[in-house]
Amino acid sequence: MENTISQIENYLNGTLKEADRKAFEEQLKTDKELAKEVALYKDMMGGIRLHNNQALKGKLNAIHEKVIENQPSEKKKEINWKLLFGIVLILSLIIAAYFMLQKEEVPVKKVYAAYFQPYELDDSRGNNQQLFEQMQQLYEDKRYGEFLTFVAQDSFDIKLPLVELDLLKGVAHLETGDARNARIFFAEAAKNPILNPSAQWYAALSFLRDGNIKACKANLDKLLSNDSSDYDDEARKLLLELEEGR
Amino acid sequence: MNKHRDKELLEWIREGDLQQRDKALAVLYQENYPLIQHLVLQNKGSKDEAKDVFQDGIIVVYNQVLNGSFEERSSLGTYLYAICRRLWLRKLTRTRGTDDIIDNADYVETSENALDYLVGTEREQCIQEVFQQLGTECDKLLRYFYYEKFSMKKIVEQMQITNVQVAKNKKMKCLKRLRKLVLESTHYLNLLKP
Repeated sequence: MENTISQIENYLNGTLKEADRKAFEEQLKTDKELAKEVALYKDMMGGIRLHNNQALKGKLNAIHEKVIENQPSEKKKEINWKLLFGIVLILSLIIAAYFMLQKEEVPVKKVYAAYFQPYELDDSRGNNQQLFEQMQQLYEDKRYGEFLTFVAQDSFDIKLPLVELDLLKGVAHLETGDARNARIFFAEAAKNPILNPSAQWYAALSFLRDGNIKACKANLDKLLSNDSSDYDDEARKLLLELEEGR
Repeated sequence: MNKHRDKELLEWIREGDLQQRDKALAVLYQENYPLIQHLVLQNKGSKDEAKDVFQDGIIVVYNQVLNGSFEERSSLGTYLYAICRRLWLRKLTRTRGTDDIIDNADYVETSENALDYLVGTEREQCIQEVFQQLGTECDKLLRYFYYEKFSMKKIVEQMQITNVQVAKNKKMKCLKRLRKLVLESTHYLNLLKP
């Protein structure tokens, strides 16, 4: 039925390709049911037009009452509408800017700080104890800039399961203010089923940090729709907080 | 009404959202009604008749602008006057048996076909009655798409629907529902009988 309606619409709008239009017209000559549907569709369009005319008449009556019947209001035409509009616009922009600044600074940073905890690194991973301990120290001391430099060196040759390192790098980028790069690493980490919930949680926090509430909520929804994880309670709490606009 | 103003009004009607269209209607009304009232009162009519004729005239012009058949060979005001004049002339001929009109305003020739926007076949009128059973959301969605010619994107904004695909799906559902209601209408089915 939907295909038939779409085809009829396209035919009557003149948007069918030439060959399709000809085929449709040929079919119309012999297919009585199709011809009935086309006639019915035309009647429906006519009915919609008449119905909207009626709705439009209602609007025009309201305008008539306001504009014609209430003649004293004509005096208001003497007001300089352009000037008034300009003043209202400037005031609105100032007020909007004030609230935007308020909104940007307080809730997002506060909420992010309330929910962010660095990903906890398990002890003694990989094949090089010394390198691991150095990396771990930098990470746990929250010297994230140095951490990123350290793990980027060629001499950093440690066989951690690679995706866990991506998660740590993501957290470090996030905490050094580079949410965009952080999300690249979280996306890599998310490919590992074990790390997926953590990666999704941190990705949501990265959007929160950017002030992108919509994307943060979308990631939280996705996290909660997957198999249960350690982040579910926090995710639900954060989602509720964002939806209530706190 | 000057050209710049006309351009603005046409843009509001063709491209604007509901609020802008309503604003255009209000401007057209305020700026043109007095002349039409004068025409009708000067030619055996009453204020109520003037209001009816004028509102029908606006409906015709609004439909033509939305459908792309308003040719901009004259100003909106001039054309609206011409349509209203034709409407009043038709009424005078039918109800008072006269086709003499006294007026001094400029007007352009219009076609009798332009007034077809106001009338419908009996079957179309029957479908108009069925709308009451459709529900507000479907009512608006179908009118906004098929009559107001809003894009799906604009409909999403006007009706706060989730996204374009959801709006498209709703539109199809509403159309199918309207179809079902029409085919259940005894009045409509009787009209189909040869």
